[in-house]
Amino acid sequence: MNRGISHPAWTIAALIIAALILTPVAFLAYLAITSGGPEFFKIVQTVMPRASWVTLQLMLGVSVLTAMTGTGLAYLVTFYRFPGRQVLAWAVVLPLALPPYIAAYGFVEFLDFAGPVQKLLRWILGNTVLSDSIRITSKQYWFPEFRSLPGAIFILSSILYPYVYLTVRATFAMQGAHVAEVARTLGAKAWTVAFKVIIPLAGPAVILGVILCLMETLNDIGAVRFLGVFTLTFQIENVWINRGSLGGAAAVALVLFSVVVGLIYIERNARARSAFFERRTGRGQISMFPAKISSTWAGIVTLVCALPPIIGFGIPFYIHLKASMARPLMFLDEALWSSVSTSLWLATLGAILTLTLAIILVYAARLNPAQWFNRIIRLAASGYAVPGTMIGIGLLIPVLRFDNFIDGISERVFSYNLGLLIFSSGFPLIFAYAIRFMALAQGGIDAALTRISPNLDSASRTLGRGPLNTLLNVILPVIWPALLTAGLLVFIDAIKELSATMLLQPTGITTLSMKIFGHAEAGNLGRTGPPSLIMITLALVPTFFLAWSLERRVNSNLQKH
Amino acid sequence: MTRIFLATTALGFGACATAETLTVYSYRQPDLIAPLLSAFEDESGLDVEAVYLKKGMIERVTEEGENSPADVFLTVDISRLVALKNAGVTQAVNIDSINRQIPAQYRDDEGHWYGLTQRGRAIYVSKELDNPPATYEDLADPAYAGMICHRDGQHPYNNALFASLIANLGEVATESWMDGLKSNHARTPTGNDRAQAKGIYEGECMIGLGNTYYVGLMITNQTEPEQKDWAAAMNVVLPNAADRGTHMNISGMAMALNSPNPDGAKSLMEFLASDAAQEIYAEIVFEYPVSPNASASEIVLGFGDLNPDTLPLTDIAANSAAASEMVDRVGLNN
Repeated sequence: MNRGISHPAWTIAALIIAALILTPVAFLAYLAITSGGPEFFKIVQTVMPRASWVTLQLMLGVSVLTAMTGTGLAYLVTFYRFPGRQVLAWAVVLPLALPPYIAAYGFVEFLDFAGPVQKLLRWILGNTVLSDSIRITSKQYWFPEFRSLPGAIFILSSILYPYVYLTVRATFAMQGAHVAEVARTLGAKAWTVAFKVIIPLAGPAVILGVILCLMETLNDIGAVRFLGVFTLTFQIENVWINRGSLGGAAAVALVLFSVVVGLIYIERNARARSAFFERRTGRGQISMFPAKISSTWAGIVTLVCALPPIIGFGIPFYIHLKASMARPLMFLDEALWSSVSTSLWLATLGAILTLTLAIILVYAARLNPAQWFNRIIRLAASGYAVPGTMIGIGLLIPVLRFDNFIDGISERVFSYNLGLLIFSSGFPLIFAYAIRFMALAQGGIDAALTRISPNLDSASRTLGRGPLNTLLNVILPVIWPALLTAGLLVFIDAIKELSATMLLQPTGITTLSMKIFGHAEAGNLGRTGPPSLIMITLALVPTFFLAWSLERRVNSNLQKH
Repeated sequence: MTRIFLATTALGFGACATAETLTVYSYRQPDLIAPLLSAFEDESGLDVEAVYLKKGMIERVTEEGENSPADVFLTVDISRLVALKNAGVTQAVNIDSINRQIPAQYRDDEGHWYGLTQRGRAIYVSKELDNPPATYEDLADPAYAGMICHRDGQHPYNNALFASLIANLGEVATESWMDGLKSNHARTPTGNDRAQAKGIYEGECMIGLGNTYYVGLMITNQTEPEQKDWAAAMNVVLPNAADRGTHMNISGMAMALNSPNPDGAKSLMEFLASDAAQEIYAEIVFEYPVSPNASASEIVLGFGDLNPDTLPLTDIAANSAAASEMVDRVGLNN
């Protein structure tokens, strides 16, 4: 490949896509500058300091907890042999199927005063210390309050840690085993290998996973509001809705956006360093991992690995299953099933669109390595850093203005009313998913592409294939596992998405997440059971697939040696 | 595949724009509204498309402009009704049958919006509390230190209550009241209104703030019978009954400026104001009907005689932003 020549067609196509993807952010910036000032300064003086502090604590807590859980699990599953390892390697990914708001309802229900845990506790207390009490109140014994900042950290981490697990497990499987083997062969102790060799090796993957967790955390509004944790994301909506200042809200959102773009920048540097490690070593050896351990230790490891999926998936699933069984007739509602098919369609189309755009962007950046261009491509992945509500409103207004502009021309020139052509097509909703989840797709595809030597492109080009031909016939067939993973991640997230969906819904569209919100907003938490159960099940299928494809990759990688 | 999908939704939309259908933009959620809309469909033969939103209705309608498919707006509170009018996206409706059903204090002078139901912002009091508060002002009394629970102070229901206090008592008095309320908290604001009743049942709270209709919904809850226990642990106080009256939340409706089906819109609005619909509100969702011809349900009547605060609704809407800022200044949610 001649690096001197950039590819203008690819570059221009990528720039247009990037511009479209950045439309909401640009529009929010416009709003913030033109009308955000006065309200923004009021907020800076009143709620910003506290909301920032709460948000920072939440982010730190979630970072530490997800990093520890995700890395720990990946380490145990990769390096040790214990009963149930095959099953647990899949099961630990399951919490990914739960949106934060569903997990929060389920958790609080489970651990509340009236939930099974405290009932049991009171039954025990009632039969022992407090036997003379007729009715034991919550003030007579101590129980952790989950509607709190620590509770929010715990609940969010319990469903988000799979992001860290997935990235770290892939890294360990790619080269961790070989490096660890070399260290062990040279006489290093297991603990030394773990802390001096393996954990540092996983560093970049941990950071990547944690950043994904943080962006999910910053997007969440349903769970934190329910738990009484008033974050910056909560304040963004408050400023817009209660103060009537969309500009002020946009300004706060942009502050948040800048912070996360900073985080992405750090992550990119981390990945640039990790690229060095990703050259595979040690081919032709027989793997000594997973290693055998004593049966006592193996039992403990099994329990430790089973705990996160039980907490992050089992408990909320149990609560929603119980709520569903109390109202089986809800499953006969036709409207519920039509919302299921709407959700499936939207998430599928969203995943396809996101993947397609991500491939074009990442491949264009490979063809044209100019630094300015690559920076723009990376910026296009930053939609993950903007809460869904703000993506929604930042897309809603420009799209409607554009529609009316086109309609105005059509009416003047052809005297024909086009109506709201683009908005009512539902396309903006799917495009919003592409904006929100571009980071998931770009990250995965980019990582896969960097592992392919540019020589492959050159060879293909020498044989007379153009860039498009090379992409379709040479590159895509090689990176399809990464495409599949990225597509599934986007699909799972799109199924769960609520805020942007609510704003951009064309007339006559109801998704599963909207159904759940409707019941919750009317105060009928129990009625969220059936739609929540269906949503978890829908997200479960791709989650299983994700875990399966990861395990297959890991195993084939280990068997090569 | 995208194209097929787009084509079908575009066709679906095309069908919506014909006169046979009616489009409703609603902040009220389907659990409460769907039964009413389907009753209207049966009666009128019209096909109602409801778009359930949680925010951004004004932005959406404003930007849709003349091409907006919306015929009727439904909201859960007065601030959003007034905001719709102020944004210039509503039109005046003056139909005698509606005006007869809805007393003047529950509708816009010019006919841009109409209240449909009212919900009292009640005080839930534990049956174990000997001297319960009788007014909102009492909630700041140090006698209740460590006893009070309520949901997020920025929630529209609390926002409207605080705005009404600002209008009634002035900003300075309200702010010191809010300080007092905060220092009486049993816990930081969390959960919804029902969660406060639950908190009383659990013994964590002695006093809660909540809307009247939740009590009816809890007492009659067949699928979650434990909620009956929550309701049984408390009494409902209709605050300030002896002086200016209890603060009421208004749910309401307005007609879209660019309604493609104005006749349909008017007939839906007539239906929602009719005795039949008002009875549905009263009996199924336990709200106070605004029509003097319809009566509240037995359960709701059991809370005592209602003396609604007659403060003009527009005064509440006008103080909404001030109330929101006050919550932040005082740190009520902290």
